[in-house]
Amino acid sequence: MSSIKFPYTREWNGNEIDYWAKIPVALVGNNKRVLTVSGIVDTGAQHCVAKLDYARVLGINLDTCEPYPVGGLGGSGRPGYRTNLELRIVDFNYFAIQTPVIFTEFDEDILLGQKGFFDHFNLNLQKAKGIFTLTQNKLK
Amino acid sequence: MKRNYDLTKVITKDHVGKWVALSQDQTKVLAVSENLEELEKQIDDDTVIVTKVKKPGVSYAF
Repeated sequence: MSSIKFPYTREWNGNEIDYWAKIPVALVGNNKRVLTVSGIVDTGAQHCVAKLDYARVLGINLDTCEPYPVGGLGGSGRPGYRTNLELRIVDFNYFAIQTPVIFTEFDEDILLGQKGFFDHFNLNLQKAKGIFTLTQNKLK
Repeated sequence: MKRNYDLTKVITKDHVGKWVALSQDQTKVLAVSENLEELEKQIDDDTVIVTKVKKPGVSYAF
């Protein structure tokens, strides 16, 4: 079973340092374009949710996507567009996941959620130590 | 490959609201642009990490 410890990513937010459980993820488009972004490992997200701008770069026609509203702290019902996409988890030898991804207007690059990502990985957060551990789930 | 996870010195206030391309090891900004299309023209490496720098002074929860 493959397991990797990652440091929390530290970012300055203008007032203080924010700590994020982030890993690089390569998104593979319909046009075969590969775009690497920083994904938040997010147990609170049901789906993998990506920034809408990336859909165009990846050659995804929103008209062919399933309308799928998303909700969160910003309220519910924000327009979303769901399609199947290949995600490659960079640090796990580009392990490929075929998963639904919802594209929407929001501030993050991509959230790695329960459906798709957590079907394949277990998470252990150790914020006090500044690390989190992902373990690849061999059951899937 | 060793990767830098402390971006406090890499991404600065000059990058706020802009698209940036980080080197694979996250030690430096390779390109900056006001829009993603222009950033795309500046990079030809799939391993470069693309992001849009968020507004400061906001506590984000997703």
